[in-house]
Amino acid sequence: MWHFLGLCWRDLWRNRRRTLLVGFVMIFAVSIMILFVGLGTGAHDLMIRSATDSFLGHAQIQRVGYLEEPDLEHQIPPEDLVKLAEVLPSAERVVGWAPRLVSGGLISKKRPDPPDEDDLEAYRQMISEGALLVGVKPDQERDVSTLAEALVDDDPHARCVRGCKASLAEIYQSAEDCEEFCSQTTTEFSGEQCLATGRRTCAGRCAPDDEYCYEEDCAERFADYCHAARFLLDEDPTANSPHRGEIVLGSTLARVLDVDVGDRVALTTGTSQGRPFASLYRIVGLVKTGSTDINRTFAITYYQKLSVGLELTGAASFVVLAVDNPDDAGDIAARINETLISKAPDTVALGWAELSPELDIFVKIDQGSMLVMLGLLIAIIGVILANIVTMSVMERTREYGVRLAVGESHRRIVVGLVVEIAMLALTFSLIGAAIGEAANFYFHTHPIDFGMGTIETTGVIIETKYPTVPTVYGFFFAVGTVVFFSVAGALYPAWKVRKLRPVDALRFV
Amino acid sequence: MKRIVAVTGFLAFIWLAIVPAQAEPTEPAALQLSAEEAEKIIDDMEERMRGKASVGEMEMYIKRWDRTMRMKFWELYPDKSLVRLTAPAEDAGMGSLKLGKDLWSYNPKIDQVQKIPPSLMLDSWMGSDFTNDDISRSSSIKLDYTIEPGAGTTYKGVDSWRVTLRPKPNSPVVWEKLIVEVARDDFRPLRQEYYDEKRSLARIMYFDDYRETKNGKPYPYKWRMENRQDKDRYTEMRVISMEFKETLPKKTFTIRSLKRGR
Repeated sequence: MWHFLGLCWRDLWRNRRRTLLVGFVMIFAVSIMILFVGLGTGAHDLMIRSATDSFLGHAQIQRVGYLEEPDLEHQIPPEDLVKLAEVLPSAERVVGWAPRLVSGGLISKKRPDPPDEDDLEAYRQMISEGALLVGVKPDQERDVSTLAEALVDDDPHARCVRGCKASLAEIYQSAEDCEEFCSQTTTEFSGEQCLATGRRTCAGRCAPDDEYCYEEDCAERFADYCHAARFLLDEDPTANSPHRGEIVLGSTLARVLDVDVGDRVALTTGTSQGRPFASLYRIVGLVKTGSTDINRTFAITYYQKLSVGLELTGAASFVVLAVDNPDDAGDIAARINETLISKAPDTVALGWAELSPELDIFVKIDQGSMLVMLGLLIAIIGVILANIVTMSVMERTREYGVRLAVGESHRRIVVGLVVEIAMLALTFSLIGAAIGEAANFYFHTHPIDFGMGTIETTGVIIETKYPTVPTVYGFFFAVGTVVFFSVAGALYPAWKVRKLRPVDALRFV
Repeated sequence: MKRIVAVTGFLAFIWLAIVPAQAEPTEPAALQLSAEEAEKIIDDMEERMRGKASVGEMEMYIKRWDRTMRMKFWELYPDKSLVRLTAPAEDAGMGSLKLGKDLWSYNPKIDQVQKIPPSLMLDSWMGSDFTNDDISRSSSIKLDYTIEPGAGTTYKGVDSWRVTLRPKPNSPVVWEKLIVEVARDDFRPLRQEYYDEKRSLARIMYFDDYRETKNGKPYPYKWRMENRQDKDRYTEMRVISMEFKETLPKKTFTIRSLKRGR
C-alpha cells in the first residue's frame, strides 16, 4: 500500500512542470474560495453587528404589546424589571443587558430671554424640535451598544468661543471680543485655564447701576463649557437636581438646534400619567452613528432621573440584551421566554430579526446573494479545474500505452491515476488553504475599507469596512470542492484508460 | 314562430321595466343645501362661537388620565389666543400662546418658552385628546377647507344640517374630511366629525349644555372630544365663565403675558 502510494507520488513529479501548473491552479482556487467565504461571513456578521450594536441590541425584552404600540403605557413595570435583574446576569449566552426608557419630547436651546420680551421676532426665530428622549444606565449601556463610542470629537477653541458668547448673553452683553479671548485655546481647554478665561470674559461687564446683572452668573455659565466632550458618567453628577441634568445629543439634532457641547437645552415631555414634565440639560457630548434616526432625534440622558420625571420609577421601556453570537439571538430569546413565562409573564424576549424585520430581510437577501455568488464561483472553478485535470491526464495516454505494453494491468493504472490526482489536489489544496487563511487573518485585523464609513439603507445601518472571518467550514468547503472536481476531472480519462489498447495508445501523440 | 318569440320577448322586457318602477313608492326628496348656503351656515356658526373677542375660564377633564385642569383663556378673532393653567398647583403657570400660525408653550419650572414645531402639531396638547394643531388652527375652518353642499338630518331629535368640509389643495391639514352638524333653527354647532386619511372616523367633538353668556349669546358650556380609535379616551372642556368682548388689548397676546400672566 505505502509502496504503491510512494510510486504514485514519484509518478507525479516525473513531469514537474505539468504538476506545478495544475497545482498552481488548485492553490489559487482554494485560497480564493477561503477568502470569499471569509469575506462573506465577515460581511454577514458585520451587517448584523453594525445594525444591532448601535442601539437596537441583539435582543430585547419588552412588555407584550410594546412593539406595536411603543408608548409609556406599555412599559415593563418595576416589579418585573427586578425579576429580570435576577434572571439576566446568569442567563445562558447573555453577555450584557441594560434597561432603557424612551419617550418623545420637545427640545429647544435654552437661551436667556431677549432684553425686550415683547420682541416677537426673536421668539419666532426660536428653534424647537421633536426628540426621542432615551434614558440609559451608562455602565450597563456600554455592554450592549456602541453609543458611548460614537462620540464626536470636540473642538476646544469652538467650545471656548461658545462659552464666552453664552456667558455674555447671560448678562445681555455683546460677544464681540470672544474670538480674542479664546485665541490661545487651540489644543486643550479645560480646568483652571478655562475658568480664568471665563473670569476675564465676565469681569467688569456689568454696569454698576444694573441691579439685574450678575457677573457671577456669567462666570458660572462659562464654567459649563470647561469640560471636554464625553459620554454620560456611570454616576449621575446631577442626581439631586430634579429639573437639571446632563444630556448627549445626536449630532444632526444638535446642528438643527444650533447647540454644541456646553450649551443647555430645555426638554418637555408628558409623563406616564399625562402630566407635563420639563427639564433643563447641559450637553456633555454629541454622538454620530450610521443611523440618521439616532443622529437626528436622540437625546440620551440618565435612566434613573428620567424614570422619576416620567413617573415611571423603576420601570423600563425595554431591556436590551447582548448575546455571545447575534446569529443565535432568536433562539436565545426563545429560551429566555421559557424562563419569563413564570417570572414575568407580561414580558416577551424578541431577537433582532423580530425587532427589525427590515434588517432580517436585508440579511436574508445578503445571504441569498452570497450563496448565488458562491455557486457561480464553484461552477467556474469546477469546470476549469476538471478541464485542466482531464487534459493533464489525457496527455499521458502514450505513457499508459507503454505501461500496458510492459504488462501493467488496466486496474492498477486506473487506480494509480485517480490516487495521483487525489494526492495532487490534497497537497496543493492544503498549500492554498494556508495562503487563504493567512490572507483571511490579515484582512480580519486589517478590514477591507470601501471608504464610505457607516451608511444607512432603508433603516438598516451598514458598516463599509469589512473584516474577513476565518472559519473552519470555509477551509473544508474549499479543500473539499477542489479535491472533488479534480477527482471528477480524472474520472473520464480513467474510464478511457480502462478500455485502452496499447497499440492504440502508442499511436497517441 | 320567430316573430312570436320576438314579440313575447319585447312584451316581457316592457313588463320588467315598468313593474319595478310601479312597485317602489317614490320617497320625498331629502332636504339639500347648496354649497353657498352651507358656507353661510358655517360663517354664522363661527360668528356665534367666537364673536370678535372672548375671555373665560374653563375646566378640562381628561378621561385617559382621570385628571382635571383649570385654565383661563383669552381669544381675539381671528388668530390670537392665550391659555394659562391655574390648577392643579403643580401645573399652574403653564400656558400656550397662539399668534397666527405660531404656537408657543411656557413651562415655569424651567422658565422656558418653547415654539411648537410643525412636526409636533399632531401631538397631544397638555396630555388631552386635543392636538396642538387643534389649538393653532382654531381660527377659521374656511381657510383650510372647501365647503360642500349639505343635507338635512336629525340629531338627538333636533333638526340639523350636515355639512362636509374637504381640505383645500396644498392645505396643511391632516384630516381627510370634516363633517359639521349644526342645528337648523339657529345654526348652533351640535357635533363635528374628523375623518383620517383612511376615511375612518377618528374623533368626534360634541357641543352640549348651551347656556347664555353674560352677553346673552347662547354658547356650548360643554365640549367633549371623543377619540373613536380608543373608546375609553375623551376630553371634556367645561366652560365656567365666558364673556364676549368687542376687542382685547394687543399686549394680552405677548410672550410676557404667556410667562407672567396678565
